[in-house]
Amino acid sequence: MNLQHQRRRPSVGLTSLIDVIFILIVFFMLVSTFSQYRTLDLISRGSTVSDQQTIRLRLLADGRSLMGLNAGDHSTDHLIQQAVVKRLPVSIFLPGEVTLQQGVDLLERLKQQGVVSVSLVPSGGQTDATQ
Amino acid sequence: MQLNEPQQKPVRELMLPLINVVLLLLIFLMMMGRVTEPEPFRVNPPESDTTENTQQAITLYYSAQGQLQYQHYIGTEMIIAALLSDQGFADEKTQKIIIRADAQGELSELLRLARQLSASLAVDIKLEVKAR
Repeated sequence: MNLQHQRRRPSVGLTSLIDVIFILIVFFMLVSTFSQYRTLDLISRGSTVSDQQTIRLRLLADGRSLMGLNAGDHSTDHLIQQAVVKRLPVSIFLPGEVTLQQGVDLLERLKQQGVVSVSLVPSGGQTDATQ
Repeated sequence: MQLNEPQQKPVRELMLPLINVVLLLLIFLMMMGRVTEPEPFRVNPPESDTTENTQQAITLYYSAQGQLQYQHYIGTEMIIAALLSDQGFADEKTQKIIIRADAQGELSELLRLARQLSASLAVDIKLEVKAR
């Protein structure tokens, strides 16, 4: 009489593994970000701006338009062109209500036009931000 | 003649493809995502086309209402005092501070605060922006 019976392979429970993996996925989906961040120079320690060789512009309250600060200045486009050709730094005097996005857009616009150095002067303050 | 219906085996769902897909998803999230640090308040940085990558640095938060915060320190004086007493910050060779500011925050006020920080701590200040 043959008493040996065939052994069944024990099946491995996968439910707990899937549970753990799902929890990990939920965790990573909640804490991860795919946004790409960059940086802009706001203040550099070594940067100094000479007042005599600087194109001084005032940003108007709309956050886009620029105006020459000195009486008898040429048009803004001419002043910016001068800054590009002679590689002069540009100082921009800000009104109080300008938002960061408007400031960043302005810096980018000037950079695209070829201005090498831009300083931002807060309302009622000294020369500050550089790019 | 009586024909018995063939006995149907119970259908077993195949779990292995599911596990494979879920594991691939997990690996993708782990490799591509960046774990976000908890923010003291909601900040929506301005958008820009700049290409300079974010570096490892101390990050301060600036809200649309003009509040500057680092960890649980609020206000420039407290932040300066906290960083000056932080040995890890003092040992850093290339000191810089990144400000994650809300796009609707006031630029002039941020510049004043940043100037104060830069003068007191002798650091470069950078502004974090979102890639467009």
